[in-house]
Amino acid sequence: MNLLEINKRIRQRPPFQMIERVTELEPGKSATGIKCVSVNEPYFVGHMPEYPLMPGVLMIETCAQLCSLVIEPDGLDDSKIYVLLKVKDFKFVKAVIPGDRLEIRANLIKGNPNTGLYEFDVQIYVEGQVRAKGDLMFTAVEKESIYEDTSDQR
Amino acid sequence: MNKEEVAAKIKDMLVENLRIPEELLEDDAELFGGEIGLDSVDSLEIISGIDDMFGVNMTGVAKENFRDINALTNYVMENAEA
Repeated sequence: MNLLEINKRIRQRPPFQMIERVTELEPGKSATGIKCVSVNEPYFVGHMPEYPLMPGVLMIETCAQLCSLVIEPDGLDDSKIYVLLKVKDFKFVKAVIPGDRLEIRANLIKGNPNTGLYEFDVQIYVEGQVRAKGDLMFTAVEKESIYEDTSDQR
Repeated sequence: MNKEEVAAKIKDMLVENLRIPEELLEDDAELFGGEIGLDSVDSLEIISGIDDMFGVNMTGVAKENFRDINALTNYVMENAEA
């Protein structure tokens, strides 16, 4: 799946679009995706000017975007959105730097359509060596409910 | 499955999925307060775990049914299909 096909399936866009190619996708089960890390990415301006390192939170986001392709291969009911619920046991084994080609793997380990809760085992590899790994949990929420609680605070 | 077996499975799920120390999990120990102190994210995991194990969907169910293992067990016993 190339970038144009990915764009039909996920909502994130540059500079926050992390999956550039999908090499394997088994809907509801697993996926493998690719991201090429460039020194031109905006976050390297501040993280860090002398030693550019990909922030760990963006590695988690990269994995999360791949997971969203596994959960909703044909798009989701327009009124709902999947959100990251829990990050479990994430390890950043070795730094990711400009020039690295990330291979991201996501495997669904628990999924319950009744409750909308999905849990994935994810890993990031560079040249066959693990750089980060952990578990991510997602849930489906009504888009409108996200802003409901803040409307009276304005 | 009798009540004791349901309670034991719920307890195992709470230990395994939410990593609550087993020694804190008396059947009447308050789950969302006191020493255990679960939150709304944990409640989603409980709902999912109960649905997986017993086929009982607790989405939107009143919070008193989540008070402790006894309350969860009673809800499952009353709502599980025979």
